[in-house]
Amino acid sequence: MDDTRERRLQLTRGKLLKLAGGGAASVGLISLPGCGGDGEQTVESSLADANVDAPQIRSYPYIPSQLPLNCTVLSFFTQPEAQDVEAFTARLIPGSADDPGAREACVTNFIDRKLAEHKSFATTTYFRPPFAKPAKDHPPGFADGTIYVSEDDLPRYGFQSSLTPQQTYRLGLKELDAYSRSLHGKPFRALSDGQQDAIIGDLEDDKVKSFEKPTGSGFFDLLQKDTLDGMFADPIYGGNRDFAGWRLIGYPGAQRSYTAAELKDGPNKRTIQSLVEMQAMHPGRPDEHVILPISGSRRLARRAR
Amino acid sequence: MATKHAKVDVVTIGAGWTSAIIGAKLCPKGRDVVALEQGPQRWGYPDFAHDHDSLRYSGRYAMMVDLSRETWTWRPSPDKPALPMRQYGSFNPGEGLGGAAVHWSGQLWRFMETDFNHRSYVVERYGAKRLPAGSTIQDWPVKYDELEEYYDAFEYDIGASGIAGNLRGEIQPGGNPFEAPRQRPYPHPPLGTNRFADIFAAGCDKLGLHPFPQPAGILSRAWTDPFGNHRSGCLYCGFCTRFGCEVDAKSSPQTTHLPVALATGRYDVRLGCKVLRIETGGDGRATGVTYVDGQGEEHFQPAELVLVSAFTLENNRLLLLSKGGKHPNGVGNDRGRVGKNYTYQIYPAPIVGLFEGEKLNMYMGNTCTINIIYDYNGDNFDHSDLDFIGGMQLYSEPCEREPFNSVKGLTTEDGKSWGAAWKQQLGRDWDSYASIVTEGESIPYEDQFVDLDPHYTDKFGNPLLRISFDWHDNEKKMWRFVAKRAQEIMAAMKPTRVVKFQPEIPAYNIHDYQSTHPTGGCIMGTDPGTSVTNGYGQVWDTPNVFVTGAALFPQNPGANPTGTIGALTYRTAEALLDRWFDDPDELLES
Repeated sequence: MDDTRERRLQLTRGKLLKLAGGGAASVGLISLPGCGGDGEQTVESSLADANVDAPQIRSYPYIPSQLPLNCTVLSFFTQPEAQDVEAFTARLIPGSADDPGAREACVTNFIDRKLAEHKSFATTTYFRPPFAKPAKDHPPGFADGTIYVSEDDLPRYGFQSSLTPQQTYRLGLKELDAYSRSLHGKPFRALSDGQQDAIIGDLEDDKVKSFEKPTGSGFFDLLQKDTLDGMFADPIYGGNRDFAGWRLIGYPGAQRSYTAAELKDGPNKRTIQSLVEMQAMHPGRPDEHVILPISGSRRLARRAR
Repeated sequence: MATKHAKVDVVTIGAGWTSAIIGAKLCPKGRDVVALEQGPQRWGYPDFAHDHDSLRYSGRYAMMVDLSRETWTWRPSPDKPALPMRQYGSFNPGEGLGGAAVHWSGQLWRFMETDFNHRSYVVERYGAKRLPAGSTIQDWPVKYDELEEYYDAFEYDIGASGIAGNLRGEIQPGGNPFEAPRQRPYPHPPLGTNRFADIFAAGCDKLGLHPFPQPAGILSRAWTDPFGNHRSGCLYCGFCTRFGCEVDAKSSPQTTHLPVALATGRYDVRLGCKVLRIETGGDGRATGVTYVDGQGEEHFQPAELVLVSAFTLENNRLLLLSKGGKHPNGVGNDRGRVGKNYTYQIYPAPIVGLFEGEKLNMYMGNTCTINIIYDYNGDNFDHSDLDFIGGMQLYSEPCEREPFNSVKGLTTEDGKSWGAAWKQQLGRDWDSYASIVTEGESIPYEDQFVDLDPHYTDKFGNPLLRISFDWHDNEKKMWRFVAKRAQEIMAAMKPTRVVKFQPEIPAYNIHDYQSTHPTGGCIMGTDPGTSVTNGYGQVWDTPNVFVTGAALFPQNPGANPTGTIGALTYRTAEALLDRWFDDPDELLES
């Protein structure tokens, strides 16, 4: 563990104690594994207050948030839920201290933040009825306030669920827990890697009958999408901790610029960085390649003076 | 009770590029223009100075139309149910000042000469029976020769980068030998190309094909434009499509026409305003538009001329929603033509190759730092012994690859995109695989159209637009042929292995991003019985309503629309100034 990580964890623990008023908290996804047992207690961070419609983000200029410090405070999940989610993501992208995966990159923290920060979806979503149903015992078409679509065609229409992501996690995790216990007598987080992989594979292929709402593949798709987003999006969102995802694939993060020569020969030496670490822009002269643009509103303002 | 505003010369739907062009051309001549824009204001610097955020812009579509307010429904054919596109997918229309021309890719084309007389060309060369069954291909009312000067003016105003391939009829080395003749070279040299683009070009060279760099509406060098805007050259930062450009290297209304229009004091942009319908009077003429502002208050803006200048799909919907009086089926729809000749664009990648040990630098640059061939586009190859008409571009995969949405693109040999084996491969090969991509023409059919959806409505209770669209036999056959050519090129590029080959076109779906080039529906023509507008976008049945943009295209050639949209709007602006205002009830004649 490097110094930065150690410092972050110290900060995390200090902050947690403060948040929890010194009492027991549902914490420890990394720092204190297993410590909270199966309690349903949740620490609500200030994130839950944000709770904004998607997108929360239409205003300009765009000012990105700062890098989050801790990896352990939960805002949406209960601790058992978070542990199941973490176990799931850690099978999608397995890792170790030397070769970080989803667990080490704090992907669960990313997902938890996302679910807490948004009332429902993180991207603009048309969520008005009627919602489609597969035409199993019904001819395709509109009837009684429902639109029936042939099962072959349905995947072509993309996302058609009537569940919000929050509902999909709540219901899906409950179903995952029940299914794991029915198969092996243990919760998902306590299963072996092989047992977890088998369940994940069956969910992906929609082979688990008890998953109806959400469907097995619907649950898998959302978890996989969130895992990839969390592992490979900018660390300001709470995942991709210490650039674990970007280091894996050799991506230097948000850079201000490259040259035409670098497009061919590869990058000159770059420090991997988050977009909040990007260098500021400096005004230049109009005859330089890189200049601060003077068009649009700036030009109008200049005229007005 | 709607607030009634003072009458203006022109009201435009949205403040996108065609609205800005009309403003920049008309306002300095004393015309007052009001632009009603549903989104917010934004400018290159400082609004985009910190926008290198893939998740926010590519993942969560921060610059796109708010789907919680309105979306589009789709069905594969008229006998199947239509469902709304609930989250982004197939296309990405933008909202806000400058419209989609702020987040566009910058691929800038002129259409080929044969694109403008598609129908008569096919009939003359191959015979009428070669027109695909059920297709409604038409000739454009405008020909390339008439548009050349407007293409030229648009390219020189916005600062296009590229190599001329055909200068006044003489083929130029390094450019596109199949392009229509141009009077002048591009104002700027082409953008740089990446490692993979060069491997693609070398493969094409081996096969005797003609690769050239993508012409771009992005500056390859710093420039002070004819309007006095100072703009930077491209920084190849890797955050271009779906992002705003913080140095104004990417051309947009903000870097070009908007400052000109705004500086006159006669171009009035009202933000957060959604136009609900065009109003018409007892004589059938448009009187103005009704819109709702950000507070939900209703307004009426009277205007001498209504410019239907939103995105293609919204232009169609707005005409259909504007029912009443002399136009019971909507403005422009007296003969039932609105929504017909709806077309799209073929985009997916037929083949993906892995080049082990190579770093292809896919995450730098942009969608224009690539190489392309036109050898299989349009009628640049002999179709005599083929079973289809038309063609496609083939090009090296667009750059600016973003990690979060690309890591699934490289699956293990058993098709998995999770687990230890997948992760290991990803770590090794994420920047070592790339595809050859198509961009193919889309022709119109009788069963391919847009109309109003009977079940789904927007936030204001108005019906959504319903799209009926799927690939037909001609496209399937075209794909089969071009996919084989892509396979030959990939073989010549000597990959370690082919990761994926798609010999048949995948069934159209609404969830994978393909292209933001839905076109047609309010097409221009010479006959009011088979078109909605004349060659200037003037609506046949309501001559003080003009449509701009790609909704005017009778069918969609195998190239992106922006250059042609710019040229057509320049031409219309000139006709409005020179002729229309003197006699606003006359139909303009070519």
